[in-house]
Order: sequence, then C-alpha cells, then structure tokens
Amino acid sequence: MSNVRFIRAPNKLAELARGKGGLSAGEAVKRANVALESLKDASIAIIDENLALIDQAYGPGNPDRVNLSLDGLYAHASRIIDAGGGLPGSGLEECARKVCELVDRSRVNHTRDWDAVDVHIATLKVLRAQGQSLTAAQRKSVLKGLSDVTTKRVGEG
Amino acid sequence: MTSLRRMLDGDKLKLEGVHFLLVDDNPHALDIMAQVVLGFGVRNMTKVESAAAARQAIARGGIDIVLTDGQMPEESGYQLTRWIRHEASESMRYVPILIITGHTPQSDVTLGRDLGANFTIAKPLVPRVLLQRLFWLSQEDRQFVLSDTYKGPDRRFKRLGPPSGTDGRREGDLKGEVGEASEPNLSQAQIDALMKPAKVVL
Repeated sequence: MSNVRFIRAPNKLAELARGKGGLSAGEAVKRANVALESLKDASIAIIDENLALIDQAYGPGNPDRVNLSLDGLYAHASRIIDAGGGLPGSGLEECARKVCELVDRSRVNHTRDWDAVDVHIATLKVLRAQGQSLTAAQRKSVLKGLSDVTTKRVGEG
Repeated sequence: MTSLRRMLDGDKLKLEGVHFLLVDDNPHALDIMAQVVLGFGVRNMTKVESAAAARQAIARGGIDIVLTDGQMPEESGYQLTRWIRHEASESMRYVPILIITGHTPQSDVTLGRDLGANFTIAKPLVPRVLLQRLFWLSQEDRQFVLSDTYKGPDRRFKRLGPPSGTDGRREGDLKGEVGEASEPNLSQAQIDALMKPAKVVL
C-alpha cells in the first residue's frame, strides 16, 4: 500500500510577492503589454514565415507532400501559436491550434486527409489577411467549421 | 483572495525579488515570456532553451518559480516537471511550476497535473492570464502531496473551485463565495421528505 504524506511546503513566492510595495495588477499588465509591443513586428514576421513554409511544403501546390511527415506541419503551426500575440483578435493562433489538432488526430487514427489539410491552410491565410476585421461571431463560425472538418474527415480525438 | 477585476483595481504584487526560471526551446517564445515578466517588474530571471540547462540552473538553487514550455524536442517540460518534483534538491522540489504550451489537449493538461505542475497555461502568453496565475500562486495554500506515485500540489484543487472571489474560466467552475439566500429555508418536513426512501422501478 502506498504511503501518502501531506505537508505544508514553503511558498517563497508568496513570501516575496506579498511584501510591501510592488506594482498594481493593472499597472503590471499595462507595462507587460507595452513591453510586448517591442516584439510585435518580429512576431508577425515569424507568423508570415511559418505560414509560407506551411503553404510551400504542405499546400496543394507541392505534389511531393504525400511523402512528408505531418510533424513539420505541427511544428510550423506551433510557431504560429507562439507568435500569435502579434496579431491579437485575428483568430490565427486558434486556427493554428486546429492544425495541431488535425495532425494529432491524424497520428492517432492513422489517417491523412489532404482536403482537410487544404481547408486548414486556406483558413490560416484568410485569418492572416482578414481575421482582425471579422466579427467575433464570424471567427467563431470559421473555427467551428474547421473542427467539424477534422472530425468528419479524420475522426474523433 | 482577489478577483482579477479587484486585482486590477488595487492589489499589488511585488515580483522584483522573485527569481524566475524561463524555459523554452523557441528563442522568440522565450523573449515573449521574458518581456511579460519584465513588465511585471521582475528583475531576476534566468532564461534557458532546454530542460537540461534548466536542470543545471535548478541545481544551482535560488529559483522561486519555473515557467516552462510543455513541448521541447530533447526533453519536454513535463519531464522537467517530473525531475523537479522527484529528483531536485529538497529546497527546489516544491517550487511552483507553470507549464506554458501551444497545443493543449486535455491529455496534456492532465499529464502536467499528474506530474506535479501547479497550472497549465495556453500560448500565446497573455499578460493578464499569467498575472492572474501568479496572484493565485502567491495566495495558494494547497498542501503538497508526497507519495510513491505522485509528488506535487494537492490535485483535488479543482473541486474547491477557483480561489474565493475569482471568476473561474469554465462554465461549471464552482464559486468560492456563497451569495445571499434567494428563497426561504426548507422546513424540517421538506427536508424529511427529501430524505424519505421511495420505491423505484428498475
């Protein structure tokens, strides 16, 4: 039988963070957002670079894509998620997450559906170009459509 | 305990003396993490691009919190979490760990929890979300569980709901505060009726 102990572990973070002084939450968030601004251009460049790499390797224009592992698609989509803060409100990072989900389910279900990949790539491009001008409802509908495509063409997770 | 709205109104968090360890194999993601915590007033941070380098930093000691990417090529943030909870020195074993991950299936959230991470946060990293988790950690009084199969904060946390006064992210999250009663108390007869055994057809 397993031996279980419960202890009160020292919380040094609490000790330090609750001391006198410091920043209010509003101020801290404001400053962090300002600090992030300095990375915005780099984030957008990374998004565009990975989007181009996805299209080049996994898009319908590459007849050799059938020989590629989908791991690269997952990796590029992950880079877009990392940098997704560069285009807030575009839905792009959520779309990239759907790409990861598609790859994940393709692995689990041992299947591959290029039509589903094409739809995801096309949606990435649309959201890159127009995502920020869509309404929240429109973005939600587009993203819901991707989930449906994945479930229908590749199966449940 | 404080809701984010109330936090934004006035509560303060002093992070300048807290030593953050930031771990991500992607240099740009590491820069994003660093910029966010710099904005929070953090002056003491160690940035590394692999779990191996993170283990070295932890072995040197003095780390107060770990923010790690979940998926890294050589050794994942999940493996790092397991190492910290099981093999790090006694003084580092209980350090709060936040796993920050891009694609976050429920299985990964569960894995992080079962390896002893305090929270999992989805990328892209949003300052508001990270700060809220730091507030929670700074007020956390979860016990630490030490067993043969699990070492980490008490996993029954979810049943308690989010900290009192905070808004949970999920629809089904419990509220930490109970409001005023909106209906009169049940009478003893009504309570008895609820407890009364009844025949059921199976």
